Amino acid sequence: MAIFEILLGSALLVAGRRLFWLFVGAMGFVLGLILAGVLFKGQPEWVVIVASLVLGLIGAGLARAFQQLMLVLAGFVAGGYIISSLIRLFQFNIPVNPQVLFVLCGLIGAALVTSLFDWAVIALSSISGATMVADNLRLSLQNTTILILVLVVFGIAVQAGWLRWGKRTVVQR
Amino acid sequence: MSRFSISIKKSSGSPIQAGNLEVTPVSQALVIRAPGQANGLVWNRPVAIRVQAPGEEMQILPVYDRTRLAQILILGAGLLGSALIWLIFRKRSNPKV
Repeated sequence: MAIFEILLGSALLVAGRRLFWLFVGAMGFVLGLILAGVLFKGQPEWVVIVASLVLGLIGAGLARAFQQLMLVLAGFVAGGYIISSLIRLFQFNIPVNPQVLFVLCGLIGAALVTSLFDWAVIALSSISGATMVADNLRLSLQNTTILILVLVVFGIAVQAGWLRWGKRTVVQR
Repeated sequence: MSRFSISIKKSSGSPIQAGNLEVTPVSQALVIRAPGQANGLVWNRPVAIRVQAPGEEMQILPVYDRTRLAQILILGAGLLGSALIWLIFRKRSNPKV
């Protein structure tokens, strides 16, 4: 499970915007993990993984048909996932219900994707990819912080490069 | 070889004596079996409690997991809110993905 999430996080980090279906699929997987945790509490791990993979595949499939809407929904899940992962990783003590915080930050993520689109998808996929990788490496708090910062900067730089390169080739044609 | 099957089964636990009441938990299981597999997914959850008081009719009290319902509703409201944000504020020009 950890290796799968590290690979998924790495792919998100460098190609979250370019392979938008991957971003939507990965966030479908994350949503599946959350829902399976609520619905299938006490079930074996494989049940949770299968349920999450199914939701991820559905998300990736729907991303082809409803690109923008699915990206906004993925932005919602990414926003919520980022905040809940950071709270868990850094053990922040915030006096707000975690689910409410997930939804609030999710709505911010969705609003960012709606208004900024490319850059919001780049930022959200880079941050969620970096958190996914760091979350599964089980490093010390200090190393986790450094790794997340380095990976986020790297992810945004790579994806911004893809974006500029894509625009340049379109202009040259 | 077994075929793909989905079934719902209700079962009762052993009765518990609480004062002069006899309380019996009732659960419901959703069983999904894949073809050719001996194992499958079994989703078991409590659905009701049967209460029998001496000399009275048996009462069935349904069990609602309000926390789970609230969690799903909060998440659903968030997803719906995101879709609404997109519908209201989306750009007129469709950006190329």
